[in-house]
Amino acid sequence: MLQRSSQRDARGAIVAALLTILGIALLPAGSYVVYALVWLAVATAGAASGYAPLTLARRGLIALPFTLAALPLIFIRGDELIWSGALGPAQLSISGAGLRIFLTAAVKSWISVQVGTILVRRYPIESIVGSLRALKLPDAIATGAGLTVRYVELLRGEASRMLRARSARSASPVGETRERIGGTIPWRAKVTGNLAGALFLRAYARAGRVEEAATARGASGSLSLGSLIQPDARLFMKVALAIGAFVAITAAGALLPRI
Amino acid sequence: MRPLLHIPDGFLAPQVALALWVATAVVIGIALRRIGQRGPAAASQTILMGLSGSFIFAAQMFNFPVAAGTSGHLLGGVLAGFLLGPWAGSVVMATVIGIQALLFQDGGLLALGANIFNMGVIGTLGGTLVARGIAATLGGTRRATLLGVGVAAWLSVMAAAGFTTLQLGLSGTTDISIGLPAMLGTHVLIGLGEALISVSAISFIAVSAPEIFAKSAPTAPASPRRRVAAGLIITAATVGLASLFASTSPDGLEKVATDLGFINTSQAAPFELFADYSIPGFDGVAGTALAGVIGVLVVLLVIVLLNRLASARKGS
Amino acid sequence: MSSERDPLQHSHPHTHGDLPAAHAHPHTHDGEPTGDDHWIHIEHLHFRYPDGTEAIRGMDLHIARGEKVALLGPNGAGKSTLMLHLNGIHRPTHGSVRVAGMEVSEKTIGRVRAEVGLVFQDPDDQLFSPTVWEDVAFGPIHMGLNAATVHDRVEAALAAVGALELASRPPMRLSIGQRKRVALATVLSMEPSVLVFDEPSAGLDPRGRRELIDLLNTLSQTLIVSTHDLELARAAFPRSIVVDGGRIVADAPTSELLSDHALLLKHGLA
Ligand SMILES: Nc1ncnc2c1ncn2[C@@H]1O[C@H](COP(=O)(O)OP(=O)(O)OP(=O)(O)O)[C@@H](O)[C@H]1O
Ligand SMILES: [Mg+2]
Repeated sequence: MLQRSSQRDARGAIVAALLTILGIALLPAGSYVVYALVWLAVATAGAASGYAPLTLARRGLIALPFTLAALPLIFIRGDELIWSGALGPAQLSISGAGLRIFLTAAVKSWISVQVGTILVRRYPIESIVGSLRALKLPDAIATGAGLTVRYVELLRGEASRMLRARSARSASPVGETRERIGGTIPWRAKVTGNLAGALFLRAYARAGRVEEAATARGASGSLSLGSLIQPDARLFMKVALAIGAFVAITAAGALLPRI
Repeated sequence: MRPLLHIPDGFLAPQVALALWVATAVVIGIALRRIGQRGPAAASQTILMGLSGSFIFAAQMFNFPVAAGTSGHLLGGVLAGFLLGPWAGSVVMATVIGIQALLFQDGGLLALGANIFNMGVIGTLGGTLVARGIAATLGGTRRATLLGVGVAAWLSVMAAAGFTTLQLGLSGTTDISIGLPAMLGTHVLIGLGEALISVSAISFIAVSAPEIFAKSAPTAPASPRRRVAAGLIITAATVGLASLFASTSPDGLEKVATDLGFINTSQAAPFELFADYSIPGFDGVAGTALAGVIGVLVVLLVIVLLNRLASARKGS
Repeated sequence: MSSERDPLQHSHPHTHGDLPAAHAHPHTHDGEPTGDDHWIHIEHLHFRYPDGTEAIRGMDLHIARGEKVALLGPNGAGKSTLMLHLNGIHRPTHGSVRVAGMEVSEKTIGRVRAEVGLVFQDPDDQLFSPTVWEDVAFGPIHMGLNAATVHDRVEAALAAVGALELASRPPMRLSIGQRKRVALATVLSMEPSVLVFDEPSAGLDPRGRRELIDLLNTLSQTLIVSTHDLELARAAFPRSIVVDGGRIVADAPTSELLSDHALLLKHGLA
């Protein structure tokens, strides 16, 4: 359970992903040409790793709900009016500046999600955690994260069995034909809290057993879990490439036209 | 009705994101040192924290139907903080939020500092201190503890929503006058769900495993004054830093300033709390930065006072 | 699929293929609105787990109201998977499951769950409340019953399993046997017409097992119980079904089936 295992070195990929995302974040608003180029590069990198651009693009949409936060800007900023008029009883105006901010945020998040997706699909989370430790992520966090990842499926399994048990007994009244849920909302929330409490006690008990197993094997003081990575011989080159990409994105942002 | 608190990349100005990374790193660094002081128990503490991370992950699957199609969920910050202690709890939440960002792109990587700050630092560390403060203030009974947890859990969601909106506003990607009431409005209910779930989870543990409950229930804090003073300095410094960074992004800040001015002049009740943010004579960038620092100071002051009150009650 | 099944059918007298003659249940349902002759009516059931495991590979099963049936079979045969269909936790990949005249579907699920009480293999999965009382009350409260009725139902269910004195205890602190009984009570309180128990005798000591058998014999509902405990099957269930590899390989009166040593050996039951 707590054996040391050797993991692939994801340091180069982590640095590249972070620099790319930082580069994207630093791009000025409205640099649509550069966004398109960066997306092209990302999609190419994805395709080179075996991910269909469309799948990746669809995956990128998971941040979509958050664009809601930027949506009002389109209508309430009064600057650079594109259109203004009456829509039924409401007076509506569309601001070019607001639209630009909205689109910029939406596109940037869309591309950034794809970058993150490629990273985690190329390297298992265990080796990312191991590589982060090599990148000086504090030991306590790296070990904790390793354990979290190691046991998350187990606890999710227990959680789904508990949910299954709850739904097995979630019946509608006999003789009632339309669907309805009994009990008040606070009561339902309370039952949900009970599930959480019960699950914590299971996690607690499991932690005790893991600790026993660890001490039985002579682990003392700090535990190292999945900490060893097989150093990547081409790390230097990869980091240099990543920096190159960052510089290219930034330069393109400064040089290419904005709308 | 999932909380809208995991900011993706692309919505924060780089300066804001980096400033919050610094703030988060500082607080988590302190948290690690606090936990590290436990010596030989460190290994067992680390294991419990790791498993608790898996627990929070899994517990976020739990939901309950509210009304047609919507359901309530758990975020778990105050729950983790209460069960493991505020420092360990915030480290666990930081880990969970980080893994979510890596594995599921639930929240960005550049925005991770902000997300950990909002949910792991403010929500967990701050929330747990509030929970303990209230519990001790009201006499430290089980009922007082549960009340403290409930209030703190609700506040933690509201604070995270508020901070998220402010950071977006500071980055110029949302309009605070609309975003803040909208975010706080939706999170009022999400926070209620969080409070109900947290309270009943802890009361379940209190009944089923009283020994674990007793371990996590607040004992007299060793040096509440020092702890809070440290937090105060860090937070003030962080906010100052963030403002400094942000002032290089005049577009965002100007927007915030005008938005806040707008709130101040034309809106009534719901924004009363934030009206104090704008100080006469300080317009624009400096005024807003100062207002932000003062706002945080006021929050921390409340925590300090609650903590004082708490230790006083414990002593008598 | 049938090519695998045919040899079994021809090599054994108790195979499913012979069943209709041996087990005709001309049962009437006192005006119940069932569209067919059987309270439980499973046809051509296939089920595949998301990971691709084919857990059920074509099952037909008819059970009359009030019948008591034991489900036998080796580990991994598909017993639990089948039982989870009866309550709508799993939905068929192919085929259909009808309970009390209702096709199990999103529309009927709430009513199906009122008809079928399912007790899981592991009582720890079943119990999630801070006290036994609250756990037994969950089903009735969810069904929207009033407080007085809930109280009566809980008391009756706990009394039926002899666990009234455990009412205020946390389920997590009970012994396995106690938890098993409480788990049973959590569905009895819903007064379903069908009771489905996954391995109720596992982990019970001899006395607990005897008490369980006595309890099962007092229940008037349709009973479907999976077990590795052949003595339990003999003592409480007139009819037994053997499941193996996701198929029903035998369906016969229990006494007859249990005397067929070759069959038992072949399917890991002896
Ligand atoms: N959640 C799941 N995902 C994938 N496969 C599963 C799952 N649950 C069960 N299986 C597989 O389905 C098959 C049937 O399993 P099932 O649990 O129904 O057997 P069982 O007859 O109840 O066995 P036991 O006597 O051990 O309880 C097995 O091959 C099992 O590995
Ligand atoms: Mg089984």
